[in-house]
Amino acid sequence: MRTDNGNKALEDSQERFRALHNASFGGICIHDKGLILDCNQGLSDMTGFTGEELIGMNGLELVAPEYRELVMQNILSRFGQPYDVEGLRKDGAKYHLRIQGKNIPYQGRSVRVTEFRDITDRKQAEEALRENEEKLSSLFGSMTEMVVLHEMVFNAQGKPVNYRIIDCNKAYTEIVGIAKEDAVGKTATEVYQTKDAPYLEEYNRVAITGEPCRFDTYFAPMDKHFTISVVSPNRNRFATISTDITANKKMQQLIDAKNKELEQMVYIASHDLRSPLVNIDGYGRELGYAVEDLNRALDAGHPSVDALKAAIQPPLQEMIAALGYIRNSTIQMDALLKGILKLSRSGRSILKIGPLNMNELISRTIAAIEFQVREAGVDLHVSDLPPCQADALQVTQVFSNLIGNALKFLDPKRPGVIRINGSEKEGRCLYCVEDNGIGIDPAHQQSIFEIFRRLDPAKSEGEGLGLTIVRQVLERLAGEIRVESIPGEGSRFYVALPAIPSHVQIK
Amino acid sequence: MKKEVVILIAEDDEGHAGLIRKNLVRAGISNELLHFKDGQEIMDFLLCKGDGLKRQPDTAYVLLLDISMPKLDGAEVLTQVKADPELRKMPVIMITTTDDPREVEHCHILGCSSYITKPVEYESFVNAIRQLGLFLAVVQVPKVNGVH
Repeated sequence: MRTDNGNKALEDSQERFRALHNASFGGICIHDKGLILDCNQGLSDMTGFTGEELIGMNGLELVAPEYRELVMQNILSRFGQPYDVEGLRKDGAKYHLRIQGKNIPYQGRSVRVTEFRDITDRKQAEEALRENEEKLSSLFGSMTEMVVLHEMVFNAQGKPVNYRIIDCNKAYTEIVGIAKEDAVGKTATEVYQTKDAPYLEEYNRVAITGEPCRFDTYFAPMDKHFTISVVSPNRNRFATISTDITANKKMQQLIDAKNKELEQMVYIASHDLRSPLVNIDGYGRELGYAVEDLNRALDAGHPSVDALKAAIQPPLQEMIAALGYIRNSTIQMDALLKGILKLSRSGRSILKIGPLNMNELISRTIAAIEFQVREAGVDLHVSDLPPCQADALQVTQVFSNLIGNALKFLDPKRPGVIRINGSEKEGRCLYCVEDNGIGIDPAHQQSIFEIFRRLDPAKSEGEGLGLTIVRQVLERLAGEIRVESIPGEGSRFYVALPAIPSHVQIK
Repeated sequence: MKKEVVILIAEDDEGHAGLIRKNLVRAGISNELLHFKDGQEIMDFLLCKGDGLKRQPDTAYVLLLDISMPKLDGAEVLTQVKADPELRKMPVIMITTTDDPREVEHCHILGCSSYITKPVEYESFVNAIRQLGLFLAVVQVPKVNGVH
């Protein structure tokens, strides 16, 4: 029968539709302005209602109440794009739901097919991703290293010519002094105002090969030293992580200078120690020769005691002289070693840094050497001196040494005048010990600070340590010493020391 | 008549000067020896200044020069000698305890003829002086005024 056949065909078609319907992964329903006409197994699984319960139910009840108005609007406006709402299961549980509806003709009228998709997993993944990104971005932002993401810029021939900033962190914007909006999108030559993009070759290698590299460099446009780590997250892109190591470099330079100074000191000391050793060994051998001469003289068979005495006289004289040289050399070596020990001890003494009343300190220093001052008949003027921040004992040693030197190297041709004055400027105190003595030749004005250096040993006493210790003391006190001198006119020794920090009151 | 070369020793250490003299004599050098205690003394002699001995125009000299001396050091003396048109031909031999290569190099650049390190070990010292004696025996020493 035709009708039967027609019914059969219709039933088959509905069967197929249902099979397809139930095979789909999400929930699907056909509804008329919310009233569910048909649905698949998926919707039942998702919502917890049975198929029987769902059919004839108001589909809006499958959505959390606060979203129902929105859903109704979208149904009425025949909105066709997917959108996210909160779903409501039979048991009252809420879940993330994405729905998308489409109007279709159905059994002679226009109804709507709506697909339900449970996106809880995706939402959670997105949430996790967002949290992760937040963590990374806060790390990125709070890093003290400058982190910049770049992409290479190529010319028409495919040759790398520049690179562009894609992203950068706060440290970068602060250190370079450029706002993020101004940096992102700019090329290196624009940002750094250089003719060529800095380190283009190195960066390009990393961007092409993906092999990370790391180097230390001095970046002239910023006058800073950096350690730069370069990595490539993907081809033609690279990230730089730069650490400002300028302070470390400065410290290293200071250490190098100190080491050089130390090396110089060891060199001078070992040279000076070697000098007496040459004598000790040399005259030791000479003693040996003299003993041989003496033996020969004794063996020669002299006719009289006087003749024997005369024969042994020359080798005996040699021996006496040799012993004298040996003895002097050991004394000299002992003095040198004591000097080195003294310097070492001074360098290790414990400092007590505090505010110093320099007027009191200098008058005490002068009182201690009053006898020499009076004996030398010098005119000693001390101006009002600013207080400084240092160690009293060490500073006393510095000035006692400088005043002592001024007294020692006075010019006998004119009455001695020594002036001590001081001033304070920008956190530093500068004191000056000035004399009208013999002065120092420009060629020797630096070497006077070297260990054991004495310009004219014959004319004055001393071990050649005074100014070496003065310089060492001042270095330990964050101070400095320098000299200005005109031979035949006099010398000025300038001592700089830290002033008292403004919040400290002098007692 | 040609006068014998006079050996000048500028050395602040009396002991070292004595050892140099003794070993030059042992090496058969019988030339006249003059000893100066610092750089200033030797320059006063060479430039005929001051109250001490003065250089003689018709005599040839060789200068044995220590580096570390007070007042004027050896390098300064060498510089002055090599800068002086009359003195610059005089052979100058550095004799010093320093074996620092930079210092040796510096003296060679300044124009010293030879460089001898005073070894603490006596045999080497004696050998060095003996070789110096041989050198002095064969060397042609121009008179400082250049008229040989």
